Amino acid sequence: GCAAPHSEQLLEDSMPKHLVLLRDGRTLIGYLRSIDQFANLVLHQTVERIHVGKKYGDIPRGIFVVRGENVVLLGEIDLEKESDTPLQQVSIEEILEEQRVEQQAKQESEKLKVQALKERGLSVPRADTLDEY
Amino acid sequence: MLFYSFFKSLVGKDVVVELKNDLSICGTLHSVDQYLNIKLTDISVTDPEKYPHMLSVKNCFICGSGLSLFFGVFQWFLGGFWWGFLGFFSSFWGSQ
Repeated sequence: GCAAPHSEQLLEDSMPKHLVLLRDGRTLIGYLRSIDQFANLVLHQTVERIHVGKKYGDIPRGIFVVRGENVVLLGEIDLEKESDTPLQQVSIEEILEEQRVEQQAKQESEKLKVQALKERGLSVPRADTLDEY
Repeated sequence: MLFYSFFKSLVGKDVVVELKNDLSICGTLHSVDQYLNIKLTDISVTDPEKYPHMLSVKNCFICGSGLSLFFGVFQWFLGGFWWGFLGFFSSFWGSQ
């Protein structure tokens, strides 16, 4: 148990933030409180960051417990590098809308691709089955 | 064990790894473990336009299960010639 809310903020300013890439493509950013040999993680004051083009939006998620098998990459955020980023932060509504538009465009082009392959007698293996082992 | 020994010999060298989600990361190999998890320092993303979220990350830990390709470098090895390029397929991780 700790002291006043002021000191917690002071502590957090010097604590390194971590970025976690999950297998489903999500990006989480927060303070890493715990890690074990399976890469199970506990993240504090977590934020889910969505990137579309040069814009990004942060959705606050609170405390996250991540099962290690879902972790692809764990990186330490360099606070100096983060402050001079060329990216533009936008509101949650805006980034979700941009993401929806991007997903739609991707689905369209994927449909065309599958159609073109079908016409040539080929089929693409479904991506979600490739990870089974 | 074979690839673990090979990776250990590459510690300190610059490598490029490609993850299963098509993200390519270039960096200095800091350490590797028996599960082929790796730690890279001074990383840079080879295609920052597509993956901007890594811009502010300098060091990272990568789960071995997320790797698809690992690019080493040309190096003279035991007086011979060793092309340090390896491709991994999911079946290799079957034992884990």
